[in-house]
Amino acid sequence: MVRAGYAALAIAACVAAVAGILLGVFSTPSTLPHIRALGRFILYSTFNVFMKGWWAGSPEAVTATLWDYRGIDTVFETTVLYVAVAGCVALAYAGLRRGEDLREGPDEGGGLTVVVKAATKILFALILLTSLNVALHGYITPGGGFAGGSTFAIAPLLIIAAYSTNAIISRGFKFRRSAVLRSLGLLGLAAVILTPLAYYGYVLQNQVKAASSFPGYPAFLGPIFLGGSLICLNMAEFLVVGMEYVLVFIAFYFLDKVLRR
Amino acid sequence: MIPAYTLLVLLYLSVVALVSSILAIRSRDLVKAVAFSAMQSVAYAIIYALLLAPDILLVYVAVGVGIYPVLTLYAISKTRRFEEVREGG
Repeated sequence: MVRAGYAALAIAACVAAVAGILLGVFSTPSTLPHIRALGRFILYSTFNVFMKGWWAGSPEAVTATLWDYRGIDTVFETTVLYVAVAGCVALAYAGLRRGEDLREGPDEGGGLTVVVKAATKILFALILLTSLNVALHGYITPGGGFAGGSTFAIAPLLIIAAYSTNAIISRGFKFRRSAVLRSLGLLGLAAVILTPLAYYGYVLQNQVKAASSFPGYPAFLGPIFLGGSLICLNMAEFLVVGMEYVLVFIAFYFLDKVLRR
Repeated sequence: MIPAYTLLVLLYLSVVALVSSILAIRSRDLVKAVAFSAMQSVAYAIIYALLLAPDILLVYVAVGVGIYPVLTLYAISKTRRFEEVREGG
């Protein structure tokens, strides 16, 4: 039954791939007729090296908006997701008996055929690389922490579909480890956000600003372009979001075990 | 201005999304409903690409075509596949 669903999903993915290729061949980017003043300001100043009082140190206007011009929005979004996942995990814990712990069982085997498993192994590595690329280059190309984390979540999901949930747990995505990693990501986020305060700067300050003695995060490391705090914030967000999805999958598995007895 | 063929492709994709949404709601087979829902996500993803929103596209493809259908299929595997036909419904 579920296998039929996966087959339908595979067909949908193929349709998407074909449509994407057709789109790339036959279409040219559409030009927008009108850009509002706020949008024009952000596009004009986001990578304007001659106006460093306003720039974000990143040519990617969307990432610059998400983490610099409108950073507080993203911070609270991350917090909302964190609390929601905490509720999901609490639900998994709530079904436990007194003194019981969330323990992982041995790998039971089973799952889909050898062909699917081999393909999954290749795809797993490719998806990990892609997600890391999307998150790491989020300040230059489209993408960023949340997109990278969501892409990363597909990798354990594939393993769950082809093998079992136990398979990802026995391959290193442990419950406690994921929880600790996501909290570490959030702490890193907080550290990058609050560090300018120690220099009498603003919260979420990225580059040098007027009326602030914080010199700004480094935009360049020798010849390498860094994008100020954006690269650190993107990588921390990647860790938080990716580990949160993994945590939800594992919590579902434990919930399933609790409900079955 | 937005070129006419872009608007035509947008119209086509919107109709595909609308039809697959209606099919997803009307389908009694829940697995088919999830597949139709994923089809709607694919159409929307291409619309995002046309409207030059690649940042949203990256998240939408991962969530709309990957995570959401699989989680819904998991939920369906815990219950029955077919919706019951109610009398006079």
